[in-house]
Amino acid sequence: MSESEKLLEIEDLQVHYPVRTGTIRGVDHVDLTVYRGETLGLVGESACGKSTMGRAIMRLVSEPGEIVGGAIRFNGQDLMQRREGEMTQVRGRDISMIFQDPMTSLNPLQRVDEHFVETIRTHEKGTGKRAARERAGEMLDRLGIQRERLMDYPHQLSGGMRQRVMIGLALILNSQLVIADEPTTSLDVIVEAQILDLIKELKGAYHMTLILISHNLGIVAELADRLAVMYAGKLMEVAPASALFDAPLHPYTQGLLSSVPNIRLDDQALRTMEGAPPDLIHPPSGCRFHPRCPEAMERCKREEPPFRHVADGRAVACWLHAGQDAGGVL
Amino acid sequence: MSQAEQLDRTAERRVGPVRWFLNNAKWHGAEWWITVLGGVLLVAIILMTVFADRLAPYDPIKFVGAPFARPRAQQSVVVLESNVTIGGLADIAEAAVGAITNSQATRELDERGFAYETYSSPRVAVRALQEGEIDALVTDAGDPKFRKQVRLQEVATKVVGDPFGTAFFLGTDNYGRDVFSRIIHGSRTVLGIAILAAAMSAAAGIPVGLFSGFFGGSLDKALSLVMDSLYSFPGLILAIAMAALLGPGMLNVAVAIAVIYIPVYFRLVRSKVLSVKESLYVEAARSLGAKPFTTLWLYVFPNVMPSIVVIFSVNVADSILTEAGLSFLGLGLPPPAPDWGFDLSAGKRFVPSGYWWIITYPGLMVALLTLGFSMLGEGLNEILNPRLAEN
Repeated sequence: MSESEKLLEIEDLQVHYPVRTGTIRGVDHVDLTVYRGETLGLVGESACGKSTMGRAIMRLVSEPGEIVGGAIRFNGQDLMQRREGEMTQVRGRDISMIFQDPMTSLNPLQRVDEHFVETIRTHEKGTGKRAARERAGEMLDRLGIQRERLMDYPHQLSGGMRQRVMIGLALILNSQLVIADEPTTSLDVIVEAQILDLIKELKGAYHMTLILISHNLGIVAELADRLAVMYAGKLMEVAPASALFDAPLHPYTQGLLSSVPNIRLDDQALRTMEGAPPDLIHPPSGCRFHPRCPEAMERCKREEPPFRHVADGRAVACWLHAGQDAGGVL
Repeated sequence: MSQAEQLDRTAERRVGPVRWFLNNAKWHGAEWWITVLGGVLLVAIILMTVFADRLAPYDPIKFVGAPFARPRAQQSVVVLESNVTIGGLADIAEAAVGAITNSQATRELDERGFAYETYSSPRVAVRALQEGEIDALVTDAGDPKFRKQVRLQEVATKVVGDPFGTAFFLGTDNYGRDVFSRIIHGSRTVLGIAILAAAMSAAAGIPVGLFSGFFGGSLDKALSLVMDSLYSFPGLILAIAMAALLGPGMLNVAVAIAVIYIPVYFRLVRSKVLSVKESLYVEAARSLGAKPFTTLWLYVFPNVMPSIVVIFSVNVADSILTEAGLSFLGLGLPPPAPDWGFDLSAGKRFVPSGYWWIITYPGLMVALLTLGFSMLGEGLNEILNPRLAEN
């Protein structure tokens, strides 16, 4: 893995939400690397900072959130150093995003073709409307939607179709990196399966790199090459998908995996994790997971475990694995 | 043309145009008849405004009849016949006619260039008629002075009616001006000022609201403070102050009214922008590289638009009331100009004497016009609401 080309390097990223009662540390000192061509699954409970991180990569953190520190290097260039005007050129062309709720992510007053034409012409000034519409039509063919649907308004499309259109919009300019923020959460299982198949197929066809944000381990298991587990604004564990599912290192990852019902192992009781995610304004001292951790030690309450590269392509932030150190950063 | 197409066409033709419209218009569960009723009312009044010159039978500012003539009472000018038959204008030209000095009748006869004898009082004139001095007496039977001296039944002649066709449909006011004509011409004043005012406040409030809501920051805070203070001021009082400051004149009155409604648009647009701006499709547009102005123009503004259309309609209704209020207080156009509010205030002191028509009709018009715009606004609200459109 390490010999592949690094597409995106996130270094020490911090996103803060100033609120009346204090500052929510949505993303707190996170380092993460995404390699070209891979699918990285970003998993965790609700409100752990997954979506904030996805948005921060595009510098689209919603107000009052703010990226207060860190670097986001895309193809070696730090996006944090760019002006807002330059960012609009990156968004949609180099990095694009698929949102959770397809029902509301299209402008209700614009036809499908207008969405495509506007996106294409924002980034490619020279393209004529007719040519842009033609490309939109080809994209719909790929997405498995009839071309006539170009003239439809979003409310005339089903949820699955709208999500396909959103995927098409994200891919129309051959973005190198696509961030899919829970792309199938609001769809039913049949449509979900279709959309996942479509993403898989298009990923091959467009050679894109995908960051898949989800709380659903099943989806991630199906698509992701590597997984990053987040908890309370911090990365807990990063590992190749198969390794993580076979042998999770972090107690939080273990808990997360055992709380997924497994139809094949019916003798295994479904376990849930005690407690709830912590308050991010006043996070617990030491390891943020220690109040819920079954294996918490005295040290966990006082000192924060470093996020350390422990084995081949695996990194974890836990004192249980403090002895191991494969050296270097992941 | 294929057979199927032909079938389609005949199916379409089978229903009349009205039914077709009702079937095909997307009402989205709106009470369509409210909208239609409001629309019809408005179209009627707007037509009245446009064709005021043709529709109004009299000049609205001239004294054209006896004061306080009752509505539709065909008594303003009558011919008391004796030995010739007076049927119309032509007969008057042939006959020797008389009229009472300085009455409505002399005015009518002068206007048409008829020769006539004048008599100083009704009594003298009736005697001349009975003695055969004149063939007919042209007089204003509704004139109180005439009524006092001559009882029509006692005159050995008969009232043949109104050769000039000068009945006042809605009566006359205390100066003898035609109420109907004043109402028709008054609609110009009222509608003109109200629509101008609403358009001006929309033109000022919408862009400011858009920018303020979209870009936020300290400019937004400052603008909101200014607009909220303006909004918290009682509307009519502010309009009175503004109107007094600016003086009379159509544009000035419109400005005075516009000022009080700017915050209405500002607040509506700003709050809509704040919610639309947070919507996923705006965020999605930004994630696809849309620039702020593109986002504002293509994504935020069109989605704010339906509520603006609705509020505009309701706002015109409000402006009509405010305009009527201002002119009722004497802050509208200067007096002889036809203006419903002014006529209401001028006529109100005659109501106790039984002259109800002077204020009833202008009042009714204010109510109808306001109702028309309100119903249209209400209907548009339901038709244009995208949330209802989804079902």
